[in-house]
Amino acid sequence: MNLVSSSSSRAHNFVSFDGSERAQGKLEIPESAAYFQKDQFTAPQISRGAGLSYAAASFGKNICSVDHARLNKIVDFNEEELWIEVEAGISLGRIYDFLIEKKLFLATQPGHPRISVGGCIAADIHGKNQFLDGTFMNQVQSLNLFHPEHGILELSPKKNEDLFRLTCGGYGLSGNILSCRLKLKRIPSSMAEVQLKPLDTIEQLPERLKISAAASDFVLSWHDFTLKGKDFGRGFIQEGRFIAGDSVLAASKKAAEQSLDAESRGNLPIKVFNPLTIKMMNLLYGSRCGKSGSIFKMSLFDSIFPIQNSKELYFKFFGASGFHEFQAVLPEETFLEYMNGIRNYLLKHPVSITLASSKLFAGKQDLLRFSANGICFALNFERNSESPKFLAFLDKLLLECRGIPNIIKDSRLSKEIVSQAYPEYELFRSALRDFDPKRIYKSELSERLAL
Amino acid sequence: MNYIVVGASAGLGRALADKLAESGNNLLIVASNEEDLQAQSADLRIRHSVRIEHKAMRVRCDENSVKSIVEAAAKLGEVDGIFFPMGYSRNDDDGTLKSEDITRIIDSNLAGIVAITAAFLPRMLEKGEGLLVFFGSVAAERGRSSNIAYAAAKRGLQSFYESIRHRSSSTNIRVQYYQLGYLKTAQTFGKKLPFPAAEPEQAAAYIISGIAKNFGQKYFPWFWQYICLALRMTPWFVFKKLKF
Ligand SMILES: Cc1cc2nc3c(=O)[nH]c(=O)nc-3n(C[C@H](O)[C@H](O)[C@H](O)COP(=O)(O)OP(=O)(O)OC[C@H]3O[C@@H](n4cnc5c(N)ncnc54)[C@H](O)[C@@H]3O)c2cc1C
Repeated sequence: MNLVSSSSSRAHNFVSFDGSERAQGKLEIPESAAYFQKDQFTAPQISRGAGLSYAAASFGKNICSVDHARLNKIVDFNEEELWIEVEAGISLGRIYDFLIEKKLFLATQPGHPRISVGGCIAADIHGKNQFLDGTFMNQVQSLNLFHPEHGILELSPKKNEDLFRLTCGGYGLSGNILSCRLKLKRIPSSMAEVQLKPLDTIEQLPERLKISAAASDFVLSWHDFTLKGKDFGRGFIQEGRFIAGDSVLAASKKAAEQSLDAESRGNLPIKVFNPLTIKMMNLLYGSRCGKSGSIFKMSLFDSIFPIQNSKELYFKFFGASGFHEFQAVLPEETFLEYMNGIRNYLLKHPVSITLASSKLFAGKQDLLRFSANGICFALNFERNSESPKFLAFLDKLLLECRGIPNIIKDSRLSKEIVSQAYPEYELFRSALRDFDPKRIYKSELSERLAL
Repeated sequence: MNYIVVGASAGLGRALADKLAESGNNLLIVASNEEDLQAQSADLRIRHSVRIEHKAMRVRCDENSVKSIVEAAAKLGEVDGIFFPMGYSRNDDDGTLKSEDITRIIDSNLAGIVAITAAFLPRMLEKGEGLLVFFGSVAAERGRSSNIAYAAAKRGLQSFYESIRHRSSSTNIRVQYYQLGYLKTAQTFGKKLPFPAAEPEQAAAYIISGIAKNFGQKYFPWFWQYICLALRMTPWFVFKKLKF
């Protein structure tokens, strides 16, 4: 037994978080930043964070995944200037645990504390405050990128700007992000106030989202898509606000000590979801919001990472066969056309929707970045023999409605759909080739989308 | 308290350094890579607001290496204890290694540790207080056809620990030896192991919970004591046929 060495490499069977893609590749887990040496790598490789992407973005057949998990240190911090410098393998939970005691916060965070900063940058993720703070890229002041032929490059909105934009939202294809400096936000306490406001019809959503956004720090909506007729899509808007308060509630959990992973997600011996249990779950979840709404306080932790603990079961209930997420940003003008299309399809071909939820988006779309002005709408449903038909319908409807699909959340999106939906698809491809003619960094995702 | 962790930048060493700093101790962390140690020092300092010194070096049995650790430790002040979660092994350690490889194995697993201990022991004996924590491996429980020089060095270390414990038995110096089973580190990752591997953080928490005690030797995880007992009792005519 050897206790100290700089990295290890093994054949590894990977599975995507949604359960759809499996591949055997190699996994390396460097212990030391010295692993990244110029002119050392020629074989296809890709960085890996927590492996929590729904799509197979951090692995692929015969590709070497370089796991950043052990390169997870906080290397600098300035409380006055409000920034923190971290290695890219650090999880959001570890950062949260460190910052929360100081009443500091990363403005943009996705829904699980195990997700790594590298994964947030590479997928340019969004939070429930996208309309206010933009995507994760807006929180990155600078980053260090390693590429075997270029060495370590410093990128920022001012230095190597094009490569910075390519790397933030570049799905790990421009190189390994080693570390970065992130902006911080002061918050009054580790508590949030959450207000649920009933929404009777889906038609009201665009207007109501904007009204809620104007008065909140973060906003999302939830809808019951198992209902029929005029009730279809009934639900609530969830407004969230930072508030002053005591921190006891928030301190009860350690954000860094969470367990969800792609390998164990599909481990339940039985599939819990079926049309009946899905209907019941929607009814139960919808009842959180009374007829006149409800308001409650919760820890900031629970409000930004809602899919925690018992809610991790939600993903496990899909069983080994897994699930789909179809998440898209629609321009406001076509949003109702998109909703009507879905409503009509479901009337004819029922699909049990486990989750329908929206966020308000604002910002420019460029390259393959999941950002645009409009409404971001997500649907979750089981992976089964009927789902490909529904997905093909959604792909077509999305293009008709001039929407963009979320590449990191959908493991079966095709090159045809992505290249039509994203006007700068070709620009992304050529920018990648200009920087890396050998195209060393590859994944199942990049191969599928011919990047 | 002021502690030295030799072999601090990965696996158990990193977990120990983290837990020690979390409980408010100042540390000198020693490992081979300067860049890693800088990042680790910053991380521990920032997260736990403690004093962290570091020394990048290959541990070996020579005056200069020992002197550089002593000098780095002097910046902390009085040293209250030393942890040695370090080691070096090779897959080709089958009894035919070249001298330089053997020297590295013996230095990292035994001679370097003996030399560092020797430099700090006089002061501990003078105070009648201190803590020395050594780490062995179940791989050295019985000599096998692999890890040959490594197992020999670790067995040497076990004897060294026992002698130091004997020497300081009239004082409050705690001399501890952990015989480690599988831990989830770079070395065990992806390997098919016959027994479950423990998290380094679990091991670190266990080790730190025992620093005030004078128990001598322990196995971690605990079940290895029974496996090792069975291994020791296996008669030679059976043992020689085992391939592991
Ligand atoms: C429960 C849950 C909730 C989620 N909520 C949201 C949400 O609210 N908003 C949202 O936008 N997304 C959300 N996601 C999706 C998630 O944020 C992204 O898929 C994210 O990229 C996952 O990061 P990871 O650390 O798991 O990285 P992986 O899945 O391992 O990798 C993701 C991508 O990042 C690249 N990458 C990772 N590390 C590096 C690095 N160091 N250098 C270069 N490239 C790197 C990989 O190559 C890959 O392309 C959620 C996912 C889950 C499971």
